[in-house]
Amino acid sequence: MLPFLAILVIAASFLSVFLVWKRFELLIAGQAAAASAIVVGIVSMSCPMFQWIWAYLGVVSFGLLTVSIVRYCLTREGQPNHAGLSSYIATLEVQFCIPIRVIDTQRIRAFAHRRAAYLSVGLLERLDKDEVTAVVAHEAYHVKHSPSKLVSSLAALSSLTFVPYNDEHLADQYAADIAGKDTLARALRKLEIAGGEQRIEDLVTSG
Amino acid sequence: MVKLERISLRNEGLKKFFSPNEVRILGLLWEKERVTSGQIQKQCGDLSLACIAGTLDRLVKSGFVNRTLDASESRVRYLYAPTCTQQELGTKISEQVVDCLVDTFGTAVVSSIGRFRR
Ligand SMILES: [Zn+2]
Repeated sequence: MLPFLAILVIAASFLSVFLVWKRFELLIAGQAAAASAIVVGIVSMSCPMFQWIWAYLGVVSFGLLTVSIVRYCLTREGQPNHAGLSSYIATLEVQFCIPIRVIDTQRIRAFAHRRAAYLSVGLLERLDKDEVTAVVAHEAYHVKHSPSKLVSSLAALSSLTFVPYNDEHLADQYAADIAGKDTLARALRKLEIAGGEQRIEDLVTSG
Repeated sequence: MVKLERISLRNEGLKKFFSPNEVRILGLLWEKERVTSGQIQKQCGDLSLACIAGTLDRLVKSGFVNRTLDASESRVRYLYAPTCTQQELGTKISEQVVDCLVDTFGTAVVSSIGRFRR
């Protein structure tokens, strides 16, 4: 009885991680953990030595469950909570494997911050789906290629100043590969950002 | 709440209490409820989208306008509506201004307003 309850808790904790972060790698890790838990469970029926593994898995899954509940409570607030919107966003989150947050403003805004992409409602309203994809691809590049805090602080310590001068250009290239140059150029025009025209020009003249 | 420091008595009409763009947008919202920013832009062709978006954000933040999210699979947009009628706004602002005057001038204000009673 107990092993089955434990498997249930472990499965629930990894499922909650997936629902909150929508991260496939965590989901796969969860599947592996659950599978190994089942194996350990079967073995431990005859051998009580394995019980410390149960304890370990129990602590890990309880921790994961708690963290995802806390994170869910923190992020729920301030986000427009609407079924239609979340399905619109969820598709993009899965496509680019990054969390996307929606900001409550009519202004057209997009940026990457702390491993997530932020899009405003105004942007979702004014850009068509292909243009939104181009913007998310650009921000996803930033999320995936921004150096971690540890790396950047180590770089600062060793005074190897890391200047991401090329980052905007590379992120644009990546977005153009996915959504097409024209689509990205249209999205950049709608964003009305500083240096947008230069970026469109770079895009057209490159490759 | 109208910010008292923003009141300019020299201006005409509601521009005493709101910016010209705020007055235009409020006027549109009173005419027709549940308006999108696109419809507002069509009516105010001379204003940039960024300017309209900023004004709408400000009106929502100050509580004069309410917006709801209208989202489906294929589109996302805000629908705007005023939180009070033009008349209710008049009452609100008058109360606020009279309170402020009474705080400053006391009974003199009461007798001055008494002039309007029939
Ligand atoms: Zn960028």
